Amino acid sequence: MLDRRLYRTALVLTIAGIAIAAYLTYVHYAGIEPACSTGGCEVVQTSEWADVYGVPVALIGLLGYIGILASLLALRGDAQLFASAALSLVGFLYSGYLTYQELFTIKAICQWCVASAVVLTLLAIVTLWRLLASGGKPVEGADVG
Amino acid sequence: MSTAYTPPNPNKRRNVMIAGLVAFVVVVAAVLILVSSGDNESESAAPAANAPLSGLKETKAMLDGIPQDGNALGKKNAPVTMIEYADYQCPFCRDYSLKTMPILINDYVRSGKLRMEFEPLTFIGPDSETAARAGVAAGQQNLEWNYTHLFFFNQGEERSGYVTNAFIDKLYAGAGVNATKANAYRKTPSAAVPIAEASANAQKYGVASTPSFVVGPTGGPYTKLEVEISNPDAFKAAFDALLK
Repeated sequence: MLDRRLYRTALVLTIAGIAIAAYLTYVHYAGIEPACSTGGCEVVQTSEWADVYGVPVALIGLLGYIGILASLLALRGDAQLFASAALSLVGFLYSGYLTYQELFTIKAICQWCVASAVVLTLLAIVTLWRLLASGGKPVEGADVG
Repeated sequence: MSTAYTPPNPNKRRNVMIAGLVAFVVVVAAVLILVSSGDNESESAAPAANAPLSGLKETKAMLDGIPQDGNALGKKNAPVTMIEYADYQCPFCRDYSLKTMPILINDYVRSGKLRMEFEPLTFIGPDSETAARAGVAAGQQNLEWNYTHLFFFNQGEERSGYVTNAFIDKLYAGAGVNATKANAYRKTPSAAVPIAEASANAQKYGVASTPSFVVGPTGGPYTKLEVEISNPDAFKAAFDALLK
């Protein structure tokens, strides 16, 4: 029962993350200003941390979220638990680093990036919780729940 | 002596797997962080010092025959003025300048309906300050718009230190600026004055990102223009409303 709730929470968070990352990726390639109430989105989006060797961080995030969604929907058992936790934790650490750069180096806040960092933090908690709580028992998956 | 068979402890095996996962996560995250913090130095995509200047023909076609006065482009008695706040290093400012602005200049500035002013902001870094001072110095010769447009055509990687003396000299040559005079002027405190004023004005209008625009009847009052920078029609609608 608990696992089912955590699984559904992870799915909802991942879909929210995909929506945020897809919007930022679209904004990047369309060359338009993101809708921004904090006023710093464009500064962050055009900073040196906004891409890795020409690949926008928003696109990396989008691929990461799609990876998490795929692991939740397509994998079963331990494979699902380990893959979703690994991807979420990598995303959590990387987005933590980017948020640090926003706050202390760029000194501008991008609300979308912060929203994504919050989603990844929650995803890391939920997926890690599932992994530690399951103890090898069957878990929710593609054909359950 | 015989020992009883002990089945492997599944909890122990699982703990080892979790430890492996943690190690994997830390390594992948560390690689991502290293790659993203290091790419700036390794790329340093500055335009090559000896590369030919881009945009000479386009800049000439866009600006020839239009009067300039310092940071202003267009007739003094144009009924509407739009002020642009931009950072020389900002890629969106480049996009606006190369794609949308030529249409607006052709349709509104050239016919005397609109005057444009350029106010440089320097929040991205020291290259922005160097570029902006050089722009102000070009403005002393009423060639700031030529210099600025050529700059955007040849814009390099942000914060890569590409705005060197050689780079500016090349832009000056392309823009027809007297480099000896402009180079002397851009290092004086006077060259910083319009930049400080631009920053103060930007704050007054609540400009938080670049490029941003304020528009109004020439002489003011001006209000912030909220438009999609890639859509010339959105700008035109604002001008037409003021021209009625």
